[in-house]
Amino acid sequence: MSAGVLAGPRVAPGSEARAEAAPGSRGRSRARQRRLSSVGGVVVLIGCLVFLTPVIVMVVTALQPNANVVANGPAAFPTSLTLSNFPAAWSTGALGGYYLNSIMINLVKVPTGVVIASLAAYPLSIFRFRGRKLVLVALLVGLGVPQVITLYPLLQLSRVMDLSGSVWVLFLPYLAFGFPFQILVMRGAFTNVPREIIESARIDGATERRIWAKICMPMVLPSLASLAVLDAVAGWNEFVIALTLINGQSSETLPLGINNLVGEFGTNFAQLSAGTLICVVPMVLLFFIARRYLTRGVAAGAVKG
Amino acid sequence: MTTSLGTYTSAGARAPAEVPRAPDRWWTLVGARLVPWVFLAPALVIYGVFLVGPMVTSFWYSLTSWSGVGKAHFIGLSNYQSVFTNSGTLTALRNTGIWAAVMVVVPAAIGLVLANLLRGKGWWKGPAQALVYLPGVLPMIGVALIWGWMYNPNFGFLNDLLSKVGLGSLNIDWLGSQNTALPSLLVATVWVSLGFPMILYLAGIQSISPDLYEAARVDGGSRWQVFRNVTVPGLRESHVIVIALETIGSLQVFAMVYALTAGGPGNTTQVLGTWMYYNIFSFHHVGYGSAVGWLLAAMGLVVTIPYVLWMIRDKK
Repeated sequence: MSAGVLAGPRVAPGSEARAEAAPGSRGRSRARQRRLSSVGGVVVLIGCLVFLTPVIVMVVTALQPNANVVANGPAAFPTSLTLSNFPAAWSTGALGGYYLNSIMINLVKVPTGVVIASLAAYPLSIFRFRGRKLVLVALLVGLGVPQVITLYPLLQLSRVMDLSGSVWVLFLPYLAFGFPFQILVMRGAFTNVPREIIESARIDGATERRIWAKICMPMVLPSLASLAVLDAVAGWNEFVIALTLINGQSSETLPLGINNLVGEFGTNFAQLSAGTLICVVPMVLLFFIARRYLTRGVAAGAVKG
Repeated sequence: MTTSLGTYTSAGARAPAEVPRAPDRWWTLVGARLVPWVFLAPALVIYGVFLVGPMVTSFWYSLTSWSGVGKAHFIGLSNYQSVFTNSGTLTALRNTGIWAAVMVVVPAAIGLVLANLLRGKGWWKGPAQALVYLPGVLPMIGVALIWGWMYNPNFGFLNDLLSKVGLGSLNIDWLGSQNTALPSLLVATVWVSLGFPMILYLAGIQSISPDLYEAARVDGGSRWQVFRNVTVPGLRESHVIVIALETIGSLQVFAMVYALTAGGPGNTTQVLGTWMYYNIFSFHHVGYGSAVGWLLAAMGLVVTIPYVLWMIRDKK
């Protein structure tokens, strides 16, 4: 199963039409089908916008003065627009601090996790050794372990390590919960590295560390990029571990900040909406910038290897 | 040397021809056996201490009666016995079951239809895929707030829309009444989850030989016939993957319920994840809550272990 899932439709618009504009009636009916498909496409895209109504409602709410929202209702066509809710939400919600914490933990966690997972996946896909299958299964079974059952022991652990006042308390648990999926994907990626290249490097006397770093890792860069994007999304959005382990608002990450918004804004729906949008917008941007890597990673985790 | 390494295809080559002296050779052998474990060590240590360790510890807690302070009393399996008589736990168990059933069927079916609709070429297909998947990258807690605003009983979009089209009599406290709270949560969750099975099915469709589609096209097969006879049979593995991952995902539901209803009204929307959380962190029943958690974990492992074994089976 190849991974370029959503890369498919990116074809120069003219190329197909040219290929199919064969002479004769068959070509004409194809052309009509194409026009029909275009109409269908517009219908589908409108359907998609309807599907996204909850997001659009939130955007429209955030762009109005709260008094208008309360007086006219969120389903009314907006009569006046304003951007002032965004700076107000930023300062009232103290969102800057949450942003900083989320950025810090993810900047460190994502590369560390991907590298450690790649180290572990390398022998699991390239070597044959006693205990290999047991270790592999043990590492992958974490996919199905509900995070909630580890929370209380993790909380105790964080107190022992005296980290509960800091955002870094999340670092090692996030790594641990990221490994199963990452190792699954990296194992698949390493398995696809041609064996001849590895064997010939060994014959040339390269150490395994060198083969991993200089030969295999460069060959799996697309998988690494996909994993990094997926891991950033997961880390940015993670809620329940942060909710339990972080003690003190100054160390909280963005999802906890979103959770606090409700209490802070009360019935100021316009600012609440603006605050929510400020919190989710990085993921929307990342999604549009790195969509191919993201969907590729999702698909890669589902490929048996 | 090759015979002594036997099944060991790897690091033997680290020590090429020049290993005449016995101690060196012995050391190389041990070193070679250690190599995989050196690579695995960082992941195994972190995974062991921060995932497996807490799992095992919480199993121990589930065998005790403990409030989190003082001494834990070992009470055997009593917590597990009361799991099946406690009405809150039974509700949570039932809701988790409903959740899994809905999430296995609805997003998977819609995702399959969408994948079939949006496969292949066409200028609108890429953007449409993106818009369907977009909610899936948002923080679940943000999605909860977005839907909280839709469902808000006094000012929310749904009730406002109903009033504006003259159906104000249908206004409902969506998340506050027992009949609508769970379905409302499920609608929001389905909304956020549609893109995931769609992507898995699209990947599956890509692995179906294009020749089959081409042959069907040449034979003049209708879209439905192609879907029925080429796409669906070709996606057997995708179905297994989607069903397994949707089940695992449903068992881990937390933020949506926590943020929108906190399990209310009257515990009617509790799922095992939130019920365990409140038992431990609000009611301080660490022992009992851990037993609820292990009920959930057992369900997760029952699905995950066969799934993982299937994923890593040797390709024939």
